[in-house]
Amino acid sequence: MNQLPSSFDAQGAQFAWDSTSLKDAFACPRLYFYTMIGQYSDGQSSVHLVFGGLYAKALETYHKLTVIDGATHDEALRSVVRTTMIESWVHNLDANKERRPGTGHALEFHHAAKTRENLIRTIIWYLEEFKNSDFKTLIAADGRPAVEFSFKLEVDNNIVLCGHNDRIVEYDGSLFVQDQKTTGGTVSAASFEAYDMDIQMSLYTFAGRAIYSAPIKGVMIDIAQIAVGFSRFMRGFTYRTEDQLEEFYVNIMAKIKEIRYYSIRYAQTGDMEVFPMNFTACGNYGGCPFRKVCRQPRQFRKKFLDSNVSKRAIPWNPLIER
Amino acid sequence: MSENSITDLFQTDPLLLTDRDFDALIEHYRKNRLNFNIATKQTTSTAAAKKVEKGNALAERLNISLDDFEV
Repeated sequence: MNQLPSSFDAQGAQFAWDSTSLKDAFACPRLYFYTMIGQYSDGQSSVHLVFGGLYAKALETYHKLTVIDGATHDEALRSVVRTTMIESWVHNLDANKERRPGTGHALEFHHAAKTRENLIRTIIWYLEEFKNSDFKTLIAADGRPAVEFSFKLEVDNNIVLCGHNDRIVEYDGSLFVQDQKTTGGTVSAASFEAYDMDIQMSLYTFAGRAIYSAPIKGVMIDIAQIAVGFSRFMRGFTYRTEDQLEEFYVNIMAKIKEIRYYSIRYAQTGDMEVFPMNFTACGNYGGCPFRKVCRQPRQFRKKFLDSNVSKRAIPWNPLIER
Repeated sequence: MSENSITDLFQTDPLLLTDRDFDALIEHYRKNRLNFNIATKQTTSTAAAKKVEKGNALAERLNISLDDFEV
């Protein structure tokens, strides 16, 4: 059996969950097996993850510098531009695994719009657009600003809910988790409707309320459209009532219990067939990336999987903080 | 700053760039953004002006006065 990430317990079942693992679990138990237990890559283009990750990190750092360190807008902007330029440059490393100045090359994104130049442009344009935003960062009861925080919230049955937030803000008299998204498509008001049932947004709101004991109303989502010649931003909100969050919690705990049951059986038998398939999910989002695997006769499936699908370069582990 | 200079900055190891280089990069994109916003407003104004023109032409053909309509 594979070496499982440390988010799994001695029984071989996941105890630390994030929105990514929850989404796969809800989509299809067999998909969950492939991605979280098997740690097979779903083949999604890494450019979106890398671009989005660098972008989100830059904005989080900016808020940390201005809110916690007292940096001016210009100081913080220069700092995050510098850091992002460095993070998107592939240096040769010395014996101490430190970057060697004067070596290496720019990271290749292999995308028409999500390029290194457009990443820097988007960061600068966004921070210029919203630098005078009229809202404050929440200060927690212990005096620490709610900025750039990773959460691990222990709930019932020794389950830990994990995630990472940019910050919690007060806007128009209400508290919101703030989150950043990037897209190559056009953004409109309709773009935000999809978030009303989104697991990640529900998890952020649920965890934010629990950790900060604050009446967080939902998530403020800033979507950046990345085009070849420009970046455009749109801000929207998704709300969660107390009742919706209770319902969300009941549903995810039921799903976690179900998946843990399959996982323990798999640990005992080594047979992936204990994870049932959800046949209605095979066509989602342009087609499940593992449809080609599930389509194979059962007796050849494992061999096909190992021969045709690569493993993740870095195992997915909700416990690892960004 | 010229486009060539911006290209040079992106092709240079950022560990070797100075604060001045980063400020120049930021200023370049600030101006870039202003120019884009101006161009977008002009496009929107031109489109709006065309709609008003069409509305007036239609009103004339129908022999009605737009003043008779409350908006």
